[in-house]
Amino acid sequence: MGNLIPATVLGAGLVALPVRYWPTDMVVGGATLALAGASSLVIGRPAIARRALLIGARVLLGVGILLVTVALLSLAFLAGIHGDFGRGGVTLMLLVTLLVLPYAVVYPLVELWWLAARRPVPAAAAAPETSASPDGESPA
Amino acid sequence: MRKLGLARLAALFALVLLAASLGLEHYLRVDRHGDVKRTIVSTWLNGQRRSRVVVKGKDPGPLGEVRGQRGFVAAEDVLDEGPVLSTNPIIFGASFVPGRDGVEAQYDDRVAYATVDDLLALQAYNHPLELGPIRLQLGVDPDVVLDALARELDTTRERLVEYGTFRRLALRHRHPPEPAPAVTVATLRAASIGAGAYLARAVRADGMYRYEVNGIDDHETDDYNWPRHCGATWYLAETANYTRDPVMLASVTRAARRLVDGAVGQCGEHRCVAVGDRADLGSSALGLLALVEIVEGGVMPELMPVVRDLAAFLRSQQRPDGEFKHFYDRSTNTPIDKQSLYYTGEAAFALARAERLTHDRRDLEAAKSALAYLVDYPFWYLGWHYFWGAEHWTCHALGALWEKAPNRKALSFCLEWQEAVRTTAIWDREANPEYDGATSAGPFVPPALVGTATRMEAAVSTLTAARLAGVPAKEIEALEAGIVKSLAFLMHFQLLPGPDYLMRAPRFMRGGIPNTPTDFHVRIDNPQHAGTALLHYLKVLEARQKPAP
Repeated sequence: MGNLIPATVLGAGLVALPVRYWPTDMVVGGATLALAGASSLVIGRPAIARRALLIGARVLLGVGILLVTVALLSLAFLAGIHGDFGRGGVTLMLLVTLLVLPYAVVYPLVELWWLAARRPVPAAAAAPETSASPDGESPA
Repeated sequence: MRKLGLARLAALFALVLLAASLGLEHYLRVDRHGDVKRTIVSTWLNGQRRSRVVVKGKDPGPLGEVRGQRGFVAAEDVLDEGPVLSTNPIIFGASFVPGRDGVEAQYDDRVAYATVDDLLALQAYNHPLELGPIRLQLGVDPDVVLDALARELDTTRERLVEYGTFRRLALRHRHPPEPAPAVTVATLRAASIGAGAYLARAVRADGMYRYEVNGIDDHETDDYNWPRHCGATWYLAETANYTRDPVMLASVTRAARRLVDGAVGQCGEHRCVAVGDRADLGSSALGLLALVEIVEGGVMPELMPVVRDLAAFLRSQQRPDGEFKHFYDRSTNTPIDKQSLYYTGEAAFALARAERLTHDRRDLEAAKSALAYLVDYPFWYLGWHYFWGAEHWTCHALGALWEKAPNRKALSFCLEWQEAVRTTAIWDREANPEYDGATSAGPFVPPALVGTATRMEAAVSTLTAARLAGVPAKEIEALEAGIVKSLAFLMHFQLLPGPDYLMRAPRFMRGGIPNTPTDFHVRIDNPQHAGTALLHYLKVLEARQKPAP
């Protein structure tokens, strides 16, 4: 259910954007759909819940890292050109960062961490032959 | 193990990103406070650059090469230089600070410069880049700059982009000189009269204004707007009354005559300002304001019946709750109960001012009721304390009504708005310390002067009411400090004369208030709003200097 919060935030943010620009729409829309899809699968098909959550978290983390990287490098570029932007500029940038970071980076990182801590018992312990784990990961 | 790997990966990524960002910022940074490396000296005549020499150090030394010519010799100091990462339009465009940075291009052992003066003359700081549906206001227009440099280097733009190298030049532009002028009675008088004189020159023989003029090439737009004709005439009348200057008085007479003869018609049983079937409240309100000022100054007393009629029209459009019906269908003689920005505040202010002339209690009651409506927010609406529209007319109405009908809620409203204006103004922008106190249009673009001007005219009206209301001295001092700083910004960039050597018609532009420090278009409401702020604050200071009766 937790995925629905960043999905709602990203979806609302996407709708609120003043112009439609396909690269942004694709990336943010894709992440929103991935998160919402993961939540639906958790509820509808518990058997593949873990794999769905992993995919959702990775997509969100990828989008988050992309956004933060682009934002930080743009900020560094603009700071190099303009120097200190002044009070207003810093506040604006800080607000944007604080809005993106918790939902798009911190949350999926915590989710991935949490999922890693709750890995199912390796199939090898139950059956000696090599096989793909239920979440599609290769056994360690 | 996987948890640890994830943490290490995240930490490594954060470190690499941080290092890359800091490195990029350091690589691009320029020192705007260092010694002068060289000076670019140019001669300008009739808005065209005629010659240029580059000399080392601060003192240009003998300028024989340019002194022998007619024209204005302008010097721009190179304080530092930095790299330009790419000629990609977005990156190149964003690589320069408007009004502060120039470009150096090297091609085939030749060097060309696009200095701040050049870029202002090319109007290269003001062009937004359109990226799909997104409009980006970048530092410079890359097309204009690259074309100009290619012409200078006698090559094609394509070859220059392919084989040329570019550097960013941090320049000190000497016009207007820094720092901003002190805000004194003398400077305020010069600035406010300058704004009025610009409007007086802008009134043509037929009473219409040169509505919007590009200061660089003297080109005039085809637009016209009657509410702005009325607003400009209001300020022109106020300046004319203040100075009693015959040229201003003649101009305001022409503008008023044109208004009354060409745009005042019937709206049912009343007269209104309207062109076409649909009348809007704002035109009549600002028209009333202008005519009140004119009649009050004794210029055209014969217009008093029109004043009474326009006031009656405004009152007839008012709803019982204080709001106005903003439009009127003249073909069916029916008020249209739809609302638009500004009009209620304009009507409230105009009626408050009209009452001083008409002495009609109904005008005062209508103005009171409109002001009460404008600030009538329920106590639970928190946004009242954080979000404002353009409320300058509301605060003008507050100031005009205070002595006869004080409205404490409106005073709190305007004081809170002004606090927000001060807090969100530009302060400490490293590349542009001269923008301090201006209303921001975004962290990387030059501020619009008219945005600051409207807030400051409201601030002066609020100051007047606040002093009469006995608001604590600390709050009044903060309000006044904000006014002084913002008016200094306005005066700094008023074309008085500004870099007039870049202009085709500098005498006409003198006193004009440009759109931004780098966009020299002057629309008639720019000097109106800025002039109102300047003149009203001048009157506050002059009243203080007079001995108490």
